[in-house]
Amino acid sequence: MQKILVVDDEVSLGKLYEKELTEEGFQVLLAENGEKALRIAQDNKIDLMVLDIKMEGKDGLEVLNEFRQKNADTPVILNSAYSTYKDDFSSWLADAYIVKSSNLDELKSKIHELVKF
Amino acid sequence: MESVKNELNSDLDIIWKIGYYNSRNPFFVYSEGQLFHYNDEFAEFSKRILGFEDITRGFQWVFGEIQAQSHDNLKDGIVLRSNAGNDERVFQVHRFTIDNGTGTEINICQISGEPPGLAGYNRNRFYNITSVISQLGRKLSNSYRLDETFKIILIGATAGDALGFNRAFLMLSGEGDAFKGEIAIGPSDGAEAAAIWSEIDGQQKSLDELIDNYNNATSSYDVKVNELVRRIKLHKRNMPIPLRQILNSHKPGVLFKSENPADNYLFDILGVESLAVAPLTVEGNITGLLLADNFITGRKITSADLEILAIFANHAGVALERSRLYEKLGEKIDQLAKANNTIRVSQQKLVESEKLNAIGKMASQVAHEIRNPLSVVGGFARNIRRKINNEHQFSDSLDIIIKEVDRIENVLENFTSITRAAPESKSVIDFSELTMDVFQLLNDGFQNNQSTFRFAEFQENIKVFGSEKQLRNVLLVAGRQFSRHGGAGSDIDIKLVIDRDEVELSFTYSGDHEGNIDAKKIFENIFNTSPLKRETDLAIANEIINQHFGKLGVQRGKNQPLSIVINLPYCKE
Repeated sequence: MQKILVVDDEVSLGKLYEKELTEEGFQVLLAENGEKALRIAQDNKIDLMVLDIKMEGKDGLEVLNEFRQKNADTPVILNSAYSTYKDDFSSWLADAYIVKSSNLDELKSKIHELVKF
Repeated sequence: MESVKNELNSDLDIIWKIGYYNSRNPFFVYSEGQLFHYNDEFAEFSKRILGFEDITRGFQWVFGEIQAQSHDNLKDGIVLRSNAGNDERVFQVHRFTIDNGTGTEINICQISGEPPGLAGYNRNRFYNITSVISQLGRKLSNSYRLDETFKIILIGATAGDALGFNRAFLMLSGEGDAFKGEIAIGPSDGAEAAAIWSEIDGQQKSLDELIDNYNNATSSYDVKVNELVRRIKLHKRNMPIPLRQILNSHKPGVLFKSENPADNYLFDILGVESLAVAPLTVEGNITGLLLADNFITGRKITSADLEILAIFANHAGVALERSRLYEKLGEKIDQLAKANNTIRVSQQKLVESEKLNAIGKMASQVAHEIRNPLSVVGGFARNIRRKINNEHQFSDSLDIIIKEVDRIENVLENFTSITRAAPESKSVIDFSELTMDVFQLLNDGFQNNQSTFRFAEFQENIKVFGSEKQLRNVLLVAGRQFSRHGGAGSDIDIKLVIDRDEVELSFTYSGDHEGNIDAKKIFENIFNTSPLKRETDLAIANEIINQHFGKLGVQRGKNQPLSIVINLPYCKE
């Protein structure tokens, strides 16, 4: 079963993603900040990361940068309430950028596309 | 005596009045070869007419001759012969008793030889000329418009009371070493001359009135001479030697038709045998040429004409330069006014943009705070709805919740789109450095795939006024989009230049390879500003460039490779 790490400081949102992605057949790991996300990623072999950007402490772009240095091939989807981060070159290190929405079809579709079976 | 004087003072005679002496007010006393006093007029006469630089010698010669020919004969006139220069000049000397017999006036009249020049005119005519020159000088010194100055110069050269040339032509130094015909005045044939002169004579106008009314009166006659003057272009390197000598001397001179046809360029155009040429100079530089001729009357151009022309040309040269400078100043003032207006409009836009920016930032924060809980509510509603069928008692309620959440999300998307192109703080930035930095970064990033950027034409130190962060992102977005459409292996030439006060940056596919270019898609990406679309990178870039008063577009000429072109205002300071 593919492991998906969901990084978001909104606990309720994390729970929604966990529920939806579990129903899609993925194993979901949750982290509510950047430091915890990097630790989980180090301790587990994850298949994909769904990463919020605006968080307390390390923001999503910093996490992405650090994560990429050791995990060049693991797909990362940036998932933010702000569409403006798409203009930031740092965000281009991610494989996809999806603006948060109550409709998770686009996110799920992209996850299926990027995760290698 | 009066009848003799009147005869001698007629315009046809050239009289030198060397002065008079009497017991109360001696102008000069000459006794036994001793000179006590002499006036300025005699000094000038001695130097210029007789050729004696030493005034005493001039006196000695004159009175030696008078004494030799008998003092008593002066009443009837005696003849003096002078060999000043290479010309023999013959003068007749008369003596008149004045002041009730207590004084004597001696007049000297030149009766043959080269005319003595301005100094030889009789006093009335001399005063008339100086008065006209003075009027012209005053008019010129009050003229600041170039066309007005042209007019005064030409009327001055042709006004009957002073120089009285039939036609005058003004040429100005232009690009390189050439003088180009600018404007002219005068009749094109005898009939036209008669019409103009009778019109002027009939109106009895003063010089001031003549100049002021020129546009309404005689200018309609000058069409042909103006056509002539515009054909004239004199290159210094091809000038005939006499003309070059005049230019080198910086003094007026007379040019005569040459036996060598190659030297007759001016004469062929103007149709005369001789013409006066006066260089118009300012601080040693020749800024123009005044040509004048007597095309209708054929009157010989005298050395006196040249002397008056020299005085007039001095006034004209200075006036011409002042008018030119004044005109340039006017242009600068206009440019400055336009620049000030642009700044004012820019400031207004900036203020509006800053307001928009502040609103946008607030909107963005509010939207973010709302979007997260909304996603949770809507997400769970969708999750539950998927698990119940349409007959379930909550299905309608959930559908309404989902629909309203969608609606709010759309409102938020529209709301936050305001912030996308919001300007950040702007400053003067080195756009050349920024471009180099970004495209080297893109080359490093695309080492293993997609395109390679090459600097085909690159101008350094190009400055623009704007947000470095925003422009960096624009270049990254545009470069990456272009590279993506080009596909792996394509080469892209970058050109960064200043073209007519605009910075132009373009990316163009080079060579035959254009990869998987989909121009339509690039266009769509640039001009699609719908906030609901996801692929809006280039649309945002377009907005940012607009905020910087620039343009972003895609170009493709027939059989030409595809280019993205970004234009921005060039910041000179």
